[in-house]
Amino acid sequence: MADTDPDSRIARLERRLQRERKARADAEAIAERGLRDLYEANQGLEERVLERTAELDLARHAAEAASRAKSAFIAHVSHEVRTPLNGVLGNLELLTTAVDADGAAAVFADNAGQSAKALQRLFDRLLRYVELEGADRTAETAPVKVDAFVESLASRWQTRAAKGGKLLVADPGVGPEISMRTLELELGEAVDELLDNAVRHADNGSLTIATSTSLDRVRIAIVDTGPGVPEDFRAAATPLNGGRAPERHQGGQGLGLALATRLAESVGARLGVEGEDHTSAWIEVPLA
Amino acid sequence: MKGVIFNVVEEVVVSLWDDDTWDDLLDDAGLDGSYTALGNYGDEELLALVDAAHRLTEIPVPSLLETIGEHATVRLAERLPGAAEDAGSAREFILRVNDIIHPEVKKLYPQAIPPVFEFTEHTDDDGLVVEYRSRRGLDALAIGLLRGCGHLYGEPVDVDRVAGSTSTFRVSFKDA
Repeated sequence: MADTDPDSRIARLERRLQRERKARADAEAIAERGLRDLYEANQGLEERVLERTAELDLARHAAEAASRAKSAFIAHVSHEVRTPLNGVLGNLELLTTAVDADGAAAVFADNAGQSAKALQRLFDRLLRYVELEGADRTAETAPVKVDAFVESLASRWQTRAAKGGKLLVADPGVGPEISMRTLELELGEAVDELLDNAVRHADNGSLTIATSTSLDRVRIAIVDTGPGVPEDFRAAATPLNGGRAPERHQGGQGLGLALATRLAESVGARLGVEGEDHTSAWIEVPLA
Repeated sequence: MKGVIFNVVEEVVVSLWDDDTWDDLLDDAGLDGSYTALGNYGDEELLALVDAAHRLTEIPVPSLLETIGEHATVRLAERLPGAAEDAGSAREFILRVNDIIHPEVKKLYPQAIPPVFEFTEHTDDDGLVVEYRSRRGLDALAIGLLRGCGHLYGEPVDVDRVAGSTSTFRVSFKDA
């Protein structure tokens, strides 16, 4: 409705101004309250983050302590088992040489001795596996000639491979001047585990230790004609967590791969499988 | 009801009529009228304003709410940058109201209590059957707002009440 005189026009505009001023003041009060609430909420949030972080820290320490306790327990039990096991082995040894009319007792004793030795080896390797948890020995690595390393491996394993009906061949793909940076003993143990697996699982034919180089690494591959390393070998490589280890009836494969992996990683090498049927397991070692 | 609705209603009244009309509506409804987008005000203040508008113009209250709603959509959408562009069409914009548009509104106005829309897609054409659910019962305003979605994209959007229901509407889209 139009205002008829200037005074009522001014009065209307003044009312409008009052309204706008009040709206602005209200908006500012609401915004300030909101900002203060936000600030307080943030403060509370920071305190909660600190509390949670502290709780997580405690939980992590507890979990780490539990893990260490578990490892220590396994190591302890392994040691404890070895003492009576040695007693069993020694007495079986004595029994095999004792007088026995038809020799049957000696055969049984020998069989028992083989089993006890297998058990002993299992515990030795289990102990080694536990010892190597989180081990990093890359600082101690030194140059090792690749061809000499492979040659000594082959000569060590040829007899055992032959016993299993396999021909073991070293296929030197790198020149005699090539060296890798590693610890010979640990790397040897790791390859031993792979060869042990290969000799066990290759049904016939030959096994080849092949070497090759890439940019900065030497690859030592064990190619076999048996079922090879299981596809999900990483899972098999964690036997303590119930990892899947196919062909377990042939014995010790899960621990072997797990141990080989820890051994390789402790000296800065890495382990893997290749080939459609996983007929090859390999270890890649840094070049010296 | 959020103050932003009152601000938008004021903008619509001023654009359809003028500033003085808004003053007169406030005076007639006995309202202080200092609305800020951040504040909350009683639903009855909006209804008092519409009643005052009805007394002034003699237009029925539902028609007034539809008209205000239709002109309010574009202004509300301007306060949510990107919302209209992201949807791309009136139909898509309407379908996004519950899941995208209103959650965005809640970010700006945490205490807002937006209505919920239930959608059924037509089988014979691209249209929608929309059920409006709100404790406010502002179905006429909802019809206007739905119609206003067409203005966002320059496409005609028809909204009709489904016979026998106050809160169910049939929305039709025509190719622009």
